[in-house]
Amino acid sequence: MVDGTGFPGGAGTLVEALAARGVSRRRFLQFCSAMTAALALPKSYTPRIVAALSQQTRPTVVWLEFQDCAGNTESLLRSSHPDVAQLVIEILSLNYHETIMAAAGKQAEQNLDDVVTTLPGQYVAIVEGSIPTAENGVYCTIAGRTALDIVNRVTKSAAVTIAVGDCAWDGGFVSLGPTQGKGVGQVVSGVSPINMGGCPHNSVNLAAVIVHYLTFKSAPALDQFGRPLFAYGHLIHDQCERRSHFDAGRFVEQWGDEGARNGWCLYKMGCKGPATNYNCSIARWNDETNWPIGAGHGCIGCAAPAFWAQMSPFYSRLPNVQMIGVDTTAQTIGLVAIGGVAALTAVHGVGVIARMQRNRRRAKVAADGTVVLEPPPGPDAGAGTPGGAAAGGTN
Amino acid sequence: MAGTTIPADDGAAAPAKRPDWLRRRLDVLESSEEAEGGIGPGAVYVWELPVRITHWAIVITIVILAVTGAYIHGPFLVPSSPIEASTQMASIRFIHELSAIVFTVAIGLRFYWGFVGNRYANWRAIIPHNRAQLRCLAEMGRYYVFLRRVPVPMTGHNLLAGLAYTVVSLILFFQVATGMILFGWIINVGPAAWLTTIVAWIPGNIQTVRMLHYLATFLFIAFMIHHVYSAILVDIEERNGVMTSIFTGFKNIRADSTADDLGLCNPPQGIEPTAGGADAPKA
Repeated sequence: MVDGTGFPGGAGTLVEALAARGVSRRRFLQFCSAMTAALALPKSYTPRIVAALSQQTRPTVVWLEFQDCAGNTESLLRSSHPDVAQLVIEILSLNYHETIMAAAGKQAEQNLDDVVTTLPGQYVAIVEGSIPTAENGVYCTIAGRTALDIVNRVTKSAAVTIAVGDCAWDGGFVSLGPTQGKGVGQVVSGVSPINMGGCPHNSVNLAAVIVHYLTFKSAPALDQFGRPLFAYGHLIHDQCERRSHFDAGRFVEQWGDEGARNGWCLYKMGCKGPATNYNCSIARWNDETNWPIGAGHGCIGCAAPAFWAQMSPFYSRLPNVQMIGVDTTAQTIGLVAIGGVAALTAVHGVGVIARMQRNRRRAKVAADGTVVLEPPPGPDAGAGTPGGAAAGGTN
Repeated sequence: MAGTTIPADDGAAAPAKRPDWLRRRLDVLESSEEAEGGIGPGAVYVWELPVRITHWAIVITIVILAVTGAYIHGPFLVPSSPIEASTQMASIRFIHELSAIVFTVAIGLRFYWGFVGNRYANWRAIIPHNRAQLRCLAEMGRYYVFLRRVPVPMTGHNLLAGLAYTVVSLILFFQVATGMILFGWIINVGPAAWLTTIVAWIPGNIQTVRMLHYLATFLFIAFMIHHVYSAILVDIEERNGVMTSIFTGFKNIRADSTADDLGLCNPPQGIEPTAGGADAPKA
């Protein structure tokens, strides 16, 4: 783990590096305030974060990318609190990142090897993308090593491992493919990564996790999926700007209708906000400009576990029911069940009426005045069975 | 009838499990009802007051829960004005949750009554669990497929109905469990957070719970169609007042002429024993 002096890394402390880049102290304090808010900490923690980051040398970070779409890198590059220059160049010493590093080929791999061998237990490993496990992981190799091999080697000697995006968390979309992609926590034994689910992850949350680690020397509180509670502790539905329309019963009925124009609730359009824990509505995207529901599209539950399978179909409220070769809805099954019972009941009722009519025709008045039935043509089913004697008495 | 000297595992001790205050209260209720009921000779007090109260509480709450649940699934009402403040969904959800609490309490009370209630309310008379009962069940099945002319005469439930209620009870418990998980998912603090933890272990997560909660509602509606039909059918066929019995508690039936009271379906022994029930079972 990290010693009291923090992460060793690039030259100088963080504030020095920031000042050299022309980042003002005001801008730095703004960033620290934003991080305090993102971590859901009281305002009084801001000075503590400022103090911790001011004394901090830049933490060494390696960013591993495997079977994925680079969407989480894109999300990182679109962050503005701090903007990408600050996050990547100043705050972090990003020694290895395939998409944005200057080094190439053997030199790049040498950088990764250097971090793992010279700074064991002192660097942050961030993993993006799933790790293919089929056929010993041959479906993703970098510099002759499989992703499985790389992720085991790098994360096992990291101070902290952060899995960004759904693919690195639980295999994501690619886990449904033939390469049997899995998440970091599923393939590396003994390592419990901080999972930052979401497709993609939100870089505000990633920055907040790193700041939390630098300030308190520990991971933030996590839920049962290993996700930070400050970001994944509340339902989107409970923090949604359209929630008042939900409570009022005002819903978008179809795309482009009056409700859609008025910004009403997207519940009936299959919004998965009520099923998904994320701070999407608060952290937002693209420089905090907007977020999916704000833009008029329902949530697809991208921060929920295995969401590609569990949250589809994205435009209906409930998942379909998949039985032996049949893909149907719960409502269809229910209506068929009701229809079946109603039809059977009607048929049975007709049968009972027919039997009553027949009995009426066969009824005779006996000498003592009681009504008796002529014996039916077939064997009487009631005889010699439990209740048979009593049945004879009541008839 | 059962003293403290009788061992606890003796069936005869069962009525003594009712607390004294409850027994006294019921004695008053039952005697007053018998006095003013105007029930004809040979009438049997079958459904005790808690059985009838829980029955109707469950009926009413199921109807409310199904209607409000249908709205919560797919809101079909239009608010009076888009400009006005409205709490339509919030109010309907509140009614749904309130009814669910009444529903849960009613089911809990009926479950308790399955252990302390009279011989017709006892679980042993409802859940088929021995050979004689299975024979009665099969006979009732033959009646429903027109292979037997009259229903097996029973003072309490017939065993086929008992089997149906056993299955329906399981669905009731399932509905309470899924409903609580959905409620815990909303609340997500204190003990309710524990319910959210369960969700992580369910394949398909909270969406599966929602889907099953919705699906089970249709099963209740299907059951209600069958249930009302069967009650009317048996009322007509046996002319024993089964339809009025769920209001009054009394059936116009002679207890010495029914399969359960004669011991042919192996009634629960030791619970309010009658002369006919002593020598069962015969299998």
